[in-house]
Amino acid sequence: MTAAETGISLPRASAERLAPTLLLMPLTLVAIVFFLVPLAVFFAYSFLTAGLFSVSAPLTLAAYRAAVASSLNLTLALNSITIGLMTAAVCTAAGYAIAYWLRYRARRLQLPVLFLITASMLASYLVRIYAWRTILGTNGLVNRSLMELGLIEQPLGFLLYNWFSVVVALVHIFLPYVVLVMFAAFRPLTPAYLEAAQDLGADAWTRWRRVILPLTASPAASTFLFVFILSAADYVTPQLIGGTGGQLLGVQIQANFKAIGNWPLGAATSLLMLASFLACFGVIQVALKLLRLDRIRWSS
Amino acid sequence: MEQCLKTPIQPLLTRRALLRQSAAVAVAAGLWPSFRTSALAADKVIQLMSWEGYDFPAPMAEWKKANGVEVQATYMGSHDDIQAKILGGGGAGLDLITYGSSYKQLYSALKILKPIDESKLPNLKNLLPFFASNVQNIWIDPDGTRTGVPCDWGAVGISYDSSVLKEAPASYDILFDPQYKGKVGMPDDPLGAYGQAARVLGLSSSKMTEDDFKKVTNWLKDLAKQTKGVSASYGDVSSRFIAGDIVLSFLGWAAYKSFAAQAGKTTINTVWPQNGGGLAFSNAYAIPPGADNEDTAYAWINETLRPEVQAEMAKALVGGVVVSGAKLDPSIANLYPYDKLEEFFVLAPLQEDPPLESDKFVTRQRVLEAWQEVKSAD
Amino acid sequence: MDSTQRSPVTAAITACALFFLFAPLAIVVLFSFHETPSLSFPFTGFSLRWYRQVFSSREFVNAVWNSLVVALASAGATLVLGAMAAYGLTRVSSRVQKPLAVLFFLPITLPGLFLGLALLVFFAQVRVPLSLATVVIGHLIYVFPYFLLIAKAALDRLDPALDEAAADLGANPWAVFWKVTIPQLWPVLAGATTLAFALSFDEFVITFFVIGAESTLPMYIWSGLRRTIDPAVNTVSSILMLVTLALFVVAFLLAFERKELGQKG
Repeated sequence: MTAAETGISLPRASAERLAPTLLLMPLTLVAIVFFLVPLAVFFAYSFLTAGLFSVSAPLTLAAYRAAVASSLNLTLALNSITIGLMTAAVCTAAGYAIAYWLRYRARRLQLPVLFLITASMLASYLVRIYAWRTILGTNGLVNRSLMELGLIEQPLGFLLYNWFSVVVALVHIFLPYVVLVMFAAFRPLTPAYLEAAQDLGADAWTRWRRVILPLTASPAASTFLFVFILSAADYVTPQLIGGTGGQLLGVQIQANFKAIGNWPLGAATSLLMLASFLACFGVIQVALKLLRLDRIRWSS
Repeated sequence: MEQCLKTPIQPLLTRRALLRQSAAVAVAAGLWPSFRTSALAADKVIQLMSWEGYDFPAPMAEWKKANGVEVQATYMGSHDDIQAKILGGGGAGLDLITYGSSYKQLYSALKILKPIDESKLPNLKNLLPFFASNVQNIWIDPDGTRTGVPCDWGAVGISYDSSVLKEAPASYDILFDPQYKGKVGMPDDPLGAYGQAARVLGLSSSKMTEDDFKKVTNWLKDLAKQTKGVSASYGDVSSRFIAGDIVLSFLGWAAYKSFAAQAGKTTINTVWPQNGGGLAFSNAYAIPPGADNEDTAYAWINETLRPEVQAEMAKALVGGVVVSGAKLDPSIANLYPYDKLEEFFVLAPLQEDPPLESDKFVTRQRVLEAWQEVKSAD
Repeated sequence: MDSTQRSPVTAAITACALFFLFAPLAIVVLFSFHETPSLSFPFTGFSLRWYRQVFSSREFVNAVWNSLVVALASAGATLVLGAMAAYGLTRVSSRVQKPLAVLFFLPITLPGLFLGLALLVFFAQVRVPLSLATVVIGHLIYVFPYFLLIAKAALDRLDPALDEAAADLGANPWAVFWKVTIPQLWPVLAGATTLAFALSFDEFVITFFVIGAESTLPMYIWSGLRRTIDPAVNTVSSILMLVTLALFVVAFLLAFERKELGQKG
């Protein structure tokens, strides 16, 4: 087929340049109209005056003042930070261990275990939260087993409807993601690296500190942040198994929109939350840069 | 995340096998529509939004079949879902809703209750005197416009597990007994909680001064500390009773007895202690502004006012009937004292809510906001 | 450190993690067969009563149908828009690519709560009624970044020499796309689309805010959780898990092929 037969009137080079841009436009349009614009409107709402399930024009900072002054918001924010950090820490630590095993020790079991872990990710989100009630409750699996084994006489009451069950459920939800990311982070680290370090006399701890940690710090940090943000913003887990002590800020935000009807307050709280996430992201980037851990790039 | 997707993994499917399997899936997908309920003509379909069960599949089954009516019900998790939906733009086509007696004020202010044409509801004459009256303007506005038709009622007091508590609670103070710490339940019903708590303290939640409000809020916070968290719904309290996680419940609903019995636990009872009594609620059918099938909706409401249907409805909901002449099933006949109904409604009056706007009294918004603090009280 | 060394600690952690991940799911499935309405131990016996009840429930069937429709629409839209965009991203200059890449991958960084709320507020502002259509839009925004990641990664692995060879032989960009790129890419695209379908089918966090009067399967489960919980919820959940698991198997096998793309004739 010659160029004349295909009937292209433009020189080939220009057509090549035009086509990709045209292909990009539909999704760009969708992303702008249904993502950026709604976020902008949401942002704008935080500056409007609140009505009952409605907003009106006068611009005001009242919502932000109320969001910051509320002691409830402070309690919930502290809960969100603590629970978010705990979830992220457990996930990242476990993720490291599991990814290490998968990368260096699993051999033939690598694919099946990887598949299992990722498959558990797709079990329904809601299911995975309320399933814990059957396990951690007064007559749940844990208590029943411990009593059958004679280890305890009265059921343990502190397992469910508090920060503990929230962390457990959130770890259950995010662990597969973390394992996947950490596994990918470990992939470029061929065993040769670690063998070389060992040959040079490094013990296990030093190998971890001087070889593994620097090379995986960047993905580990971003996954830590990812889990922290998603955990702190969760609004379903606290409602189902959070009790009074495990309530998170996301619940309050959603209550402002659905039950109370104060949209600007909900928007203001959300934006403050997002701003703090951005700040955390900034802090981590700076920390990585200072520790010179951000320069490591893999050629693949 | 991008890095993890570069993982090389052996393919286990050949292209041919995949095509064969896709074809099988496509055939199965083509058969799916036969499982789907058939779509009837649009004008005989009622879109209903209410609590679960208020589409009364069993009691209304015969009538629906005889009249070719189909009901598409959306169940709400909380009463606020209704106004959130209608105001959020999702109300187009919604033909029928229910509103609790305490939500009348809000819904009138939000203008989501269409005036009801009484001439299209001949069965209104069946209503018991209490429910036909203009009590608290719940179903009829001061100017005589009807906005709702009562369809059921119930009352909350204290529910308890009689296998653990040998004697029925005589007072609400039992909820604060240290031996029951962590074993008390409470549903996420802010207006109900404030209503009942106010009554226990000798106040009324619709007329709270700042001091009253503080008293009631602190009472509720102390109560919340006795719980392991406010339950997401009444149904959740029921589940916790069944699971043995709680033995007492504030805002105890008579229907728990039936729910628990179905799950094998027959020991849940509800009492209305003299100190504070309880609260009653009543749900009424209403027609929202977006309704496009009003005639069928009216026919529906009219049918629900027939004594036979009411008896079935009450049995399904484990609640009370609003019409006279209904033969009650034994399982619900003794839930409420029908022979002394007027007196009962003094002991457990229909719930009244804080005003939307007021200079003198604490408003609804403030109650809802304070409730969030109650839920996190530690 | 040779490969025969043992690491009992990490192995133990992995084993515990697997147990931890699957025990709750197994319990959900177990209790979906419980002969009594109780969700607490002891487990008294097996029965199919909940499956019978669920399958004969009109609300359940409607919810499944709605979920299917929404997931098909979301996955379809994602496939079309995402495939085009992935292709465009790899071919366009990096001056355009960088900001667009940021835009496209931004939704992943935002919790669903904010995506859902922003859409709710937006639809209220422009007076678009909430319905399954708005749900599809919400799912599209949530899902397309994942699709793009997979598609773009696959496109990056393609050998550009093939495209150039085809072009040298006189094929216009359109023909190159259809006759050279797609044949290499379609398993990955199919896998990514299946993943998009599965993500949409199970989506709750955003759907909660932008859905109208109808119900999807996760919304049906949610309303079930707020009522007296009986094993019917477990039954619906087990069905949902089975469906997404099956979809995931297909996606996994399609999208993560080892064979060198670009070598097949």
